[in-house]
Amino acid sequence: MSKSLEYATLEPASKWRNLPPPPGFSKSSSSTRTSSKTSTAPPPEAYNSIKETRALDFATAPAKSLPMQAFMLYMSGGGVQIFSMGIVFMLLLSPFKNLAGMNDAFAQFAPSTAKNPKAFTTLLVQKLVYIACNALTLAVGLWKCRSMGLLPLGTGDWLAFETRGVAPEISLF
Amino acid sequence: MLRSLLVALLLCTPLSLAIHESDVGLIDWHKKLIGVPLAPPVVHYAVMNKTTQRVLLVPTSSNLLAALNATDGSVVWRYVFDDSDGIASFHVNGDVVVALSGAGATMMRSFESLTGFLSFEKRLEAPTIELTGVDVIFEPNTGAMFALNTHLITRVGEVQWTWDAPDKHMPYSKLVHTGAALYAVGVSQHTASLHLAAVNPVTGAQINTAWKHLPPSVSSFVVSGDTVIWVVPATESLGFVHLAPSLRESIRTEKTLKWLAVVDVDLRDKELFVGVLTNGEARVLKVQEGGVLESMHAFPVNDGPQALFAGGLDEAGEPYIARLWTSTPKTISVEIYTPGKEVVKTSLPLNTHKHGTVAHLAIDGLRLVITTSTGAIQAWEKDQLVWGREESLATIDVATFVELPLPERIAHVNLEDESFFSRLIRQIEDTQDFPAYAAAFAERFVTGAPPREEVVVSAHDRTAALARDAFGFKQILVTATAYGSLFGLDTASGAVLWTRVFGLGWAGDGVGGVVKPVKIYVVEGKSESEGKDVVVIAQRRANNKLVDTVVFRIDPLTGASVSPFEENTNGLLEGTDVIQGPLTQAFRIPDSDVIILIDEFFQINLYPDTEASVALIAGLAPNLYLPFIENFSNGPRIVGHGLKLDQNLSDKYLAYRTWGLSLPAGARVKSIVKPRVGPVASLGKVLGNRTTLYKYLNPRMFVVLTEGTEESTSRSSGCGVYVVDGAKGSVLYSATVPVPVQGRAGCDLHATLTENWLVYHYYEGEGERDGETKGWRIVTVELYEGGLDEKTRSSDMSAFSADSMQVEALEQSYVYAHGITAITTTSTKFGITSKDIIVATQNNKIHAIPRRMLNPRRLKDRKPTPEEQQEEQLIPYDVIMPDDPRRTISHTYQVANTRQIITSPALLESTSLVFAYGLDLFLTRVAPSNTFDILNKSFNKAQLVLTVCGLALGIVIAKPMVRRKRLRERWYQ
Repeated sequence: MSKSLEYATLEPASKWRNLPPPPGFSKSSSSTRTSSKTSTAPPPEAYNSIKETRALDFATAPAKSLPMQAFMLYMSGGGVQIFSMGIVFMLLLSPFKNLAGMNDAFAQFAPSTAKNPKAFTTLLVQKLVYIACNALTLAVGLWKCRSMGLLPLGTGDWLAFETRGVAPEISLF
Repeated sequence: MLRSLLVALLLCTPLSLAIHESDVGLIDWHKKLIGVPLAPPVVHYAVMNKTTQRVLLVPTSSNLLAALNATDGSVVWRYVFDDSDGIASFHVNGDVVVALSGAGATMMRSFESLTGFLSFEKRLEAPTIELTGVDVIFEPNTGAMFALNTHLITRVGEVQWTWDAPDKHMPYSKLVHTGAALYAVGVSQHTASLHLAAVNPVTGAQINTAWKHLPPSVSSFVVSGDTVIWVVPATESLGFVHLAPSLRESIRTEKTLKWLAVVDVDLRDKELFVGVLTNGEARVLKVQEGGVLESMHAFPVNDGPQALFAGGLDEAGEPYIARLWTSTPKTISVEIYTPGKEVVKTSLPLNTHKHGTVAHLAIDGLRLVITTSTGAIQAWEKDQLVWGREESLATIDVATFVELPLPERIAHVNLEDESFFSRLIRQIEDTQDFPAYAAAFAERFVTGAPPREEVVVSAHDRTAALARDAFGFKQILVTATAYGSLFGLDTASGAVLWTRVFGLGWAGDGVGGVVKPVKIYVVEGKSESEGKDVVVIAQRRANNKLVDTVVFRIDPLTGASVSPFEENTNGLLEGTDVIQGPLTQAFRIPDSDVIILIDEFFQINLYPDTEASVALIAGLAPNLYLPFIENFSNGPRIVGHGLKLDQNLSDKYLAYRTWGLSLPAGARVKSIVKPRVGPVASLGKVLGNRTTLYKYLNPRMFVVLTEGTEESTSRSSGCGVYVVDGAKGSVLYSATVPVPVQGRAGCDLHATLTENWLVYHYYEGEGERDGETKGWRIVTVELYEGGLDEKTRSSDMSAFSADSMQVEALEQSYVYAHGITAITTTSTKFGITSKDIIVATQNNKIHAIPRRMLNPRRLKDRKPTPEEQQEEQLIPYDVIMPDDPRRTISHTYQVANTRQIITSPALLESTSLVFAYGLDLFLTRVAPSNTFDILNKSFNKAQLVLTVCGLALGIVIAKPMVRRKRLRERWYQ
């Protein structure tokens, strides 16, 4: 069950608007009030700008949780243990998982004018921010890996793959 | 604080690798040997704890005095003399054994005869002329003893005096003590005279000295009671003289029979000795009152050459005299004579092809103790062998491990050509073993017992087929000794599997000679089975001075000769003469079974001399370099050789000189240390910051040890260590260490080289450097291609490339607590396990020094970072190499005078077999990085099984319960 808010119901062009009221509910009794309110209600563009700010909040969410994660990393220590490994895996995997589901996740914030809410180009700025924030998470994960000595950066990590041939001269003893 | 604790903890962890007491005798064995007897054993009775015990006292060529238990041949005690303190003679009386040793035989030591406890040590006055004879006799009842040394007689006891002959050129060689006086007797061939001296035994005052004229050919004499007897070869007569304090008695002669020799049979007190007649008869003679020789017994004419005589007293004091002779090559006959009893005749079924000919004879009642030309000591009761010892094992020249072949059942499966049905049939046949296997597996799994093949006891079962065990701990040690014998030993138990004696080839027919093994190689077997052959290269020195090079090729499982093929192993082991002349050097071509033998003309002889090996050499010759020691008029030098074929000179390849190692003036080559070749698991050393130091892995490196010559013992030309490239002779690393004793030549350097790692050990005398104490040092050197991450690809680089000289050496030295006699490294199958240094110390122990302790990167100025501790196991530098008794892998055994240690990989990567030989033999297994590839013995398999079973049971019980609960939840939600 999805817990996300259906901002779509706010839109005047929504298909839900034209649904008849359920039996026993009169439309007219409330319509006067609603009609008076609709005149004062913000225009659809305002909804779009709200959605945009919401999308930006969503995009920066990974960055906001970073201090907490950094603290957890610090507390988990430098040893290769089950706890620190779990956190590191989470840090390394979640950016990729997030990016894979990015277009779906941002579809709910798509402006009403968007032709295809799931296209990459809709909410492009927010998506780029989102990518940057996820990259930041990944960088923290990699930094942790490096500090744990799990990144093969030195020559020592590739030594086992080096090969040598046979020397041309043979000396017997 | 916490960090230092961590470091201390890290230091402690590998120390728990010490040998467990429960492993002693299971993973190791020790053979306590005494060496090849130099003289007939002396049977000695002594009372200890109210029981009479018999021991055999033997001086041996390994420079020791040993007491063997006469009942079972075990070593009761032994005293190993220093190399500079050669044993000269020993004398037994009561419960005292006195040995004279050292230069001039001036060192007198007295031992308790049954325990070997040293009761006193005394330096006697040295004779001023060359030593001509030493003797010790004991004064009855007082415990005092008289020691004769050429012209000096010393009384050792409560009253001490020294008598010096008035004429220093009187070569006395024997002491005689009668009630009246103490006599010194000696024969001089030079002056043709018998010298006598009579001394007062209490005061040391000279009573008389005299000399009597003898025919010039008399060289030896025997003393019987108070009579001196000799044979005059010219007239074939006996001469004898009675000893009296006045020394006025005249010489008498016995001419009725033709005498050849007189033999002392150690029955001086019983006044018995043996006279041998020219016709081969022998007489037991006794000097009667009034100076008459009486024949007590006549041994009849023997039908063979050369008889051995031995005499002795039994427990009751009855004299026994035995004669032993070889009648026909196979039969050894013995006659034992006791006064008043019937002569016991017997023959010893001694296999002379296995043990050689009888060298010495001793008699212990009716039991005979013989020593043989191949160094065996055997006790015979009538014609039954009671016990035997193979003492030539104390003189091993070359030894090698041989891996056993796979069990026949597995080895014979031809997997490639097997059809489906035959495989099905074989697998069905194999399943019949499955229940037994499953039962054994379950038992092993639950009890943690080792696999059955590993059980050492089974090695004593000679009927068990010699086949490889699961871990490769059971191998065969083939050892060739200086006494021309060859042994196959089981590494699991130390049992002698077979014994062979080298035949003499053409020199066997009446010429005689000795065979001296030089090299030993393991090559692939000629037969179809997977077995290996052992090739022993030996030099045969015939008694007519001709030297030949002989190759013996044997099957290590049985000791049978492979080429030439022999049906059974009853005869002597005959080899193939490959070079009519001495051998200069022998080399094995790596990764092949071809051996290069270089003769005195530097011609290359191949073994086996087949077309394939000729083709192999032709292909390799341009790139083959042979460095070895050549002797020049000004001393030995290291010379490198190349190979070339010059049809004008010879149809064989010739080794020609390409380079010579030039040493500083006053340095002389002492020895070459070959690199220990094995698989290289890693090309570099990874440091804590993930950078790499690339190892300098030049496969042509070897070590030359030098010593200073007599002329120049200055500080600069001490003892040298050089690491030399074998192809072009360039020095890659060199160090000069001080001579042990200032102003005297001679070095005590030991070194070992493996991969890029050189370890050497030396003694640093006093006053070499300010503020340093004298003591032994161990130096570890690692050669790298350059600094961090610098690489030159040294392992496949040409020796003539410019980069080949780019070597960076890291070195560190440590103070070591012991002098050593041998050093080597462990070797494992893939070289992944870190290597320990194994040393044999001068206090008769075998130590293992871990790699970590000998890391030349041990930090001097700071503490290692956690990364460095983790990656390199780096520890701070400490000048003292801790002498931890837990590093002693020889347990409490005394592994004396170890000359060499060889190591061999087992099938388990973690484990290496270590065999130390010298006087004693010692074999053990070591796991330098712990046995990471097998479960620990203390691993609780039962607990594991129980836990798994418990969990499975829990699942079985909980599963229906959970299912029911879930169902109920759905209904009543």
